[in-house]
Amino acid sequence: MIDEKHVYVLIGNRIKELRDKKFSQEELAKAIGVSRASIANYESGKQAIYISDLYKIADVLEVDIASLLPSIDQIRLQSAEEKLEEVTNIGETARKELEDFIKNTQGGDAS
Amino acid sequence: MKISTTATKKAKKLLAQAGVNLDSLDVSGGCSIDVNKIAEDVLKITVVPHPFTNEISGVFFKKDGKLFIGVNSTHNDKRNRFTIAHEIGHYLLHAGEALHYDDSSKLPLVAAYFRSDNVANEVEREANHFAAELLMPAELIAKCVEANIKSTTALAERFNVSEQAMTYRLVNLGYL
Repeated sequence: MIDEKHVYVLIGNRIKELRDKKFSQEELAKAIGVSRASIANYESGKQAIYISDLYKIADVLEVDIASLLPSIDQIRLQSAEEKLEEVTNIGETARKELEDFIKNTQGGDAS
Repeated sequence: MKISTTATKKAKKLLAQAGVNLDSLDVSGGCSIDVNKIAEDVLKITVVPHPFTNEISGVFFKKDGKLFIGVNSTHNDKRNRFTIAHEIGHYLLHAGEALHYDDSSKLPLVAAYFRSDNVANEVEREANHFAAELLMPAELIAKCVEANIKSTTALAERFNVSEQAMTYRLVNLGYL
């Protein structure tokens, strides 16, 4: 269930978020000794990040390594949302029916 | 199987919460897990039968802070039991953090449809796996087999599930 793609995308999001506050991609790249393109690919999740680079980035950004790592729940959720969208691609009629049902369902003793 | 053990663990935990003791349960009187009761009493999910078109088996969603499972009232009871278990799986395995956001302007916040033949994606497969673990715990099947209840038909009857669901389960557990 843990989708590799989501692992790297979510790590990349974290890096970008924290890096943006302090450095440009260029600056971070120089600080950890990789190319700017690598940082760009790490941040977009296109490239699997080396664990050693992850540590270097945490060090340069002065954050705890854990703050760069998404929880398993977050990764699962990311996958689930994507997959649910796929499943939601059902016929227009069924979709409409479902939306109406949800709209008309009220709390309380509906069971 | 590649499917995570998370589904198995969550199903076992839920059975324990519902007071179903797999070790001491006597299988001679039948092994139908009361999935409606588990949904409503343990998880506080309201189950709402509705005559959906045939392709929709069930839907899980949260509305105004309350949890709901809609099931297709035109489908038979055995199938609906599986659908409810499947939707509980979506809730426990996939909905997690999404449920913390409560934005009623976004309508079906967490809505999962279950088309009977569409088990092509992992999320649906995992929910099915969870449902099988919940309705047909391996321990209980083992006990039945020990008690010489071995045919798919007899087991399906005993667990109050479809023969199709029982067949898949027996294959996955290596009995068939």
